[in-house]
Formats: sequence, structure tokens, C-alpha cells
Amino acid sequence: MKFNSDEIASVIQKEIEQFSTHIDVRDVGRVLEVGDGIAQVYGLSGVMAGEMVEFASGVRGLAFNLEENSVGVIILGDYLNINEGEEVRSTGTLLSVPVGDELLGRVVDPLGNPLDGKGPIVTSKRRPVEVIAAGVSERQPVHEPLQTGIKAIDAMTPIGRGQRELIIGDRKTGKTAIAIDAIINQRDSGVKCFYVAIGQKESTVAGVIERLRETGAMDYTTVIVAGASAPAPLQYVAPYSGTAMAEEYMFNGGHALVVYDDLSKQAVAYRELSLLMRRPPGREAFPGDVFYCHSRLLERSCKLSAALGGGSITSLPIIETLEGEVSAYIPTNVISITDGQIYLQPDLFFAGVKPAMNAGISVSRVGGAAQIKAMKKVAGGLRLDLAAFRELEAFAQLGTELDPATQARLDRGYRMVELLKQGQYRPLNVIDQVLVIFAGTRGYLDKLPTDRVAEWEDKFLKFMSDQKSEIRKELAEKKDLDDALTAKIRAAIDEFNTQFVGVTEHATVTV
Amino acid sequence: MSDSVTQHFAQESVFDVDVEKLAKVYAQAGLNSAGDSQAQQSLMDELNAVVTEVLNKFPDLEKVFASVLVSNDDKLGILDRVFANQLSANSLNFLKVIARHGRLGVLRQIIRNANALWTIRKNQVAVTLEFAHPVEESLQKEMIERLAKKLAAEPLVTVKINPELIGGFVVRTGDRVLDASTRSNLERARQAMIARAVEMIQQRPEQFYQESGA
Repeated sequence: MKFNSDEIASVIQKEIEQFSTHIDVRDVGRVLEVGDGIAQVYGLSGVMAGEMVEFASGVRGLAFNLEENSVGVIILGDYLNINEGEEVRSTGTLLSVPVGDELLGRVVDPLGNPLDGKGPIVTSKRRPVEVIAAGVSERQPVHEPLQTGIKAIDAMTPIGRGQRELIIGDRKTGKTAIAIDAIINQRDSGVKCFYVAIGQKESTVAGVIERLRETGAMDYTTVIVAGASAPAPLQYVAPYSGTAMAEEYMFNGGHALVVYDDLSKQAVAYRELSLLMRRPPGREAFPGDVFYCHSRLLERSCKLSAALGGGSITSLPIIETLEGEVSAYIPTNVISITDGQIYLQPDLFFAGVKPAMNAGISVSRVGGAAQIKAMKKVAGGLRLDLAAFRELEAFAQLGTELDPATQARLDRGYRMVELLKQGQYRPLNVIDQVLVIFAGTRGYLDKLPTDRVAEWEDKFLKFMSDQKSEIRKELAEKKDLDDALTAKIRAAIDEFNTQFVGVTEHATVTV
Repeated sequence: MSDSVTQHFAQESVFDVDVEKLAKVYAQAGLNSAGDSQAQQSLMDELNAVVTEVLNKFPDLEKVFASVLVSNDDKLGILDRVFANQLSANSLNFLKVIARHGRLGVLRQIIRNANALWTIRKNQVAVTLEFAHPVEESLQKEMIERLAKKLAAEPLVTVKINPELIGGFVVRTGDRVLDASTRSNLERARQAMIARAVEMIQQRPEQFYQESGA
């Protein structure tokens, strides 16, 4: 291939013909000091908060601190090329990022520049990174479910489209895994996904991208990366950029899912910026407006009213706690902003309960409104039952004699815990979830040894899809359980149980 | 006036935002205490003379003013001995107040800020006119007249010749820059050409490539 220089020449010629000279009016300032991703600028008296400024070297920045005699600018780019005394000009525009379908399947930095080596992103559409969230009259209550494909979550802490559900837990408790599973499960739902990686190791992010690619989830996902080596300003801006990209779908009647992984690192980046700007530190040295930093971000996730197209942004912010300390500053802030939290506990994780969700303190404030009717019926009291089981279990460990009713409750609990375990990257269809949870909560597994629950589940689902596909079809159509359908499911489970036990006994005899 | 301002700058190598803030407060207080505009003008003349005739010529004195090893009382004594017969009571009082507050070290900055404030009060504005090459006197005069009308103030013009502009002119007033130079026009044209070419290539890449064998 060779470049066609004639074509280029004609484009340039046209541009020159159209070029008109005019006087360039600009407000300027001079760099007083620069370092650690921020610059102090003298002058720029007309600049507005949040306005983009441009350094003489071409690097862009954001007016962050307006002081009496100087302006604090956060630098979005390479600050090592900026010198003291350099001219800075205001641009009169706000920071914006490219948006649209062209971004799907791409890995970009928080300014929308591609990082995946797949060439430029050709889109003329842009959206401002910081916008004010939709008001009360522009919204409607959350009512459509966003299926994560994870039994424990869809049954006990359901997430609706437009909801903000926090995933909180210590390091290495499977927080990212839940978010990735939720993304993978959106394959057929038409929900566009945005994974915002903030302050993470680049190798971890590469692993996540690879996993999304393998499962085909990259077709509808954009990954926004501000890794651990990215300067603090980019880490701070990343979640807002991701939301701006998702808003393009929401405001056009579509649905989007944004994962912020994780907001504690963003808070740390914001603290770094604020301290460098000499803003007064508050609790845990965070600036006073760190709550606003998160609330204005998460308020942008919502379900728009039907008049505005009914689009939505669902967000899954992730917060990492230290030693299970949920009452630290940032966790309490984000817990109070979001519509519920999924709390992951290390001891459950190490005991092999994955996802390691603590049913007792995990909640979804949207609740049953975000579930299909069938799920609401089968999983109604599941969360409370499981929480009660955990208490009972602790009590039973004391070795006291238990009455048969308590023992039965314990047995049911052990089996439900087994049933809610789920492998990573294996999201389950909501119909299958309803079937297995129905079997569990209605006591069909009570006689089964706990170590065979997983096997039972696999075989049962296979049996249902192979031999009883009409039941699955009916359930998928109705999305509700009426008496007739319930009877059919009961009969199917009984039939399968006879087979399953028969096979087991046969296997035992032959051994 | 603008010459003396330039001289103040020439002596300073460090620009401290906090000191500027402080100096502004003293400058404002000094000017306000002087009284009517005539008294303010004479205060400014005397203060500028302190910089040009004393501080610039005797840098050691400035070091003494800035030193913490010399007590405020000693500094007051120095002020009395050096300036008592030279300055009006008003100006000397101002210097003494500064000395009593231990701020003689930033005297230069205070006077510079007072100059800037006095310029604003006189409805004057410092303007730098940059040309690529010397221009006719009449044209320059016309430009200054137009600027005066546009700014609604009396421009204090400093003319600079900067061949890097290639052609046209650049006007600077405070933080505002009016750039009508050939250099920036060419730069804008360059950026526009690059942006346009890249956009076209991205939209229709096939049009811009041809088979190497063809």
C-alpha cells in the first residue's frame, strides 16, 4: 500500500481556501510551579472553575483551584514537558470525551484516547465529562431487573436498571469477579457495559480485558483505564469519563452498566490532588468535599422517565475495605449514597463460599421491584432465612442438643449455602436460577448430602433443558409462577430426584 | 511610571504568591492613608524614588531590611537616619509601619503592588504592543487611540519588537492577549490542515491509499 499524496494535497488545498484570519483573543497566565501532576498558574484572571486550559507545550489541564492570586491546574497529560514561566491559555471549553458505538470493544484512557493499538476512534460525538445529574422530574422509580447471573445476588439483593449497588469487601474477596460476571451476563440483554479501572495494576486490568474478550463480552463493553502508574488527575477524572460515555446510551433510551473498580483508589487520588493544592485536610486527611466527589458521580446513574426515553445507567461502584472496617470514612460515605450494598466477607471466601456474600448485612433498597415475579415468589424470604441460619449455625457450634425443628432449619440452611455457591465467569440464566432456588427453598434438597448439591444442580439444569424444555419455555414467557406451573415444576423435580437417587444407588452398588 | 515598574521587576527573581497577597494589603493601606489623589501621587513618587535611588544602588541595605538578625527597633533607627530629611512625613510613616510589622523585607513587592493599584485608580492600564518590525509613528498612535477607546482607560504603552511574530501584532493588557500575528495565524492554519487531513483519512481511508504496484 502506498499513500496517495494527490488526495492529501487536495484536502489541504480546500482547507487553505476556506481558512480565514481573525484576531485570536485569549486569557493567559504563567506557570509559577509545576510538579506531581499539578501546576500553579499566575494570571488567568477570567478562567472559570472546571474550565480547560492549554499549556504552550500543547498539554491540557483543568482549572481546579481558583485562588486570590493564582489558579491551581490539574494536568491531564505529561507534566514533565511543562516549564516554569510557560504561558497557559484558557480555552473557554469544558473537558469532554468521545462517545458512541465506536468506543465499544475498545480500551481507552480517561480522555478517550485509545490504548489498545487498534487505531483511532472515529467519532465526532463528544459529551462533557462533568454534568449535573438528572433532576427528580426527569426520573422514574427503578422497576426493570438487571440480571447479574449470580444466584445469590439476583435472589437476595436484586439489582434494577438505574440502581447504584455498592460492592464492598476486603482485598481478594471476589469484588471484581462479581462485576465481571455481571458484565458477561449482559450478552443478550442489550445493556452496554463500561468497566472503569482506577489505580489498579496494569497486569490485573489486562487479565480482566482478556477474560472479557474470551467470553465475548468485549463486543458491548468499553474499558476505561487509569492504572496505578497514571497520574492522580487521570485517576480522579476516570469515573466521570466512564459515566459520560454511558450517558450517551441513557439519554438515547438505551441501558448501560458502569463498574467503578474501585472508588477508594479514586478517593485517594482526589486526596492527593487536594493536599497538593493545599486544600485543608479533614477526616483521614481526605478533603471536606470527598463526599460530593462521589455523590455527584453516583447521582448520574438513574432511570430516566418515559418521556425522556426511559434509558438507564446502573452502576456498580466497588470499595475496598481494610480488615473489614466498613465504618471508615469512604465506605460509610459510599454506603450512604448507594441504593444498597453487597458485602463480601473474607472468612466466607476462605470457607469456600463464593461469592462470599454476607446475606445479613447485604441489602438492596430497590428490592423486589427489580425482580421478575417468579423470582420474587421463590426467593421472598431467602435472605432473612439465610441470615437466621448464620446465627443458628454459630449457636449450634456450641455443641448443644438441638430439637428436630432447629436441626431441620440448619440442614436446609447448609443446603441453601451450597446451592448459592457459583463458579466464576459462569453466570446463570434467571429461569435456571428460579428453578434451582425453587427446589432449595421448597425442601427438595433436604435429604441430599451437602457435598452433592453442586452435582445435583448441574444435572438438574441439564435435565430441565433437555427433557423438560417446555417448562423452561413457559416460565420464560410468563415470568411468573401460577399454580399449574408450580405443579409442573414440582413433578419435574420429583421425577429428576428419583432418577438422581437411583443413579446414585446404582453407582454405590457397583462400587 | 511603567519604566520604574519594569525596574522593580528587573531586580526580582522570585515570585511568591503569598508575598504578593501580603504586599497588596500593605499597598492598599498605604495609598488609602495618603489622602487625596495629589498626596497619593507624591507618595508614589517618593516610594519609587526609594527603590530606584536607594534599594537599587545599595543592595546591602535591602539585605539588612530583610534580615531577622536586625531588630525592628534598629531598622526603625536606620529609616530615621537615612530618610528623615529626604521623605515627607507621610511616606516615612508608611515605611515605619512596615518596619514595625517586620515586613521591610518585602518593601519592593509592596511598592510594585502600590504602583499597580495606583495605575488602576488613575484609570490607566498597562499595555504591551508587540510588532514584528518597527511601524510608522502615525499607525502606532492610531492603534493606541483605538485601544484607549476599547479599554475605556488611558493605555500606558510599552512597545516591543519581536521578529518571531513574522507579521501583524500582539496586544497584551493584564491577562488578556489579542493575537493578530502571522505566527499564530500560520500555526492555526497548520493545525486546521492536520485536523482536516486526519479526519478525511479516518472517514474514507481507501481514498488515500493506492496499491503499491499500481
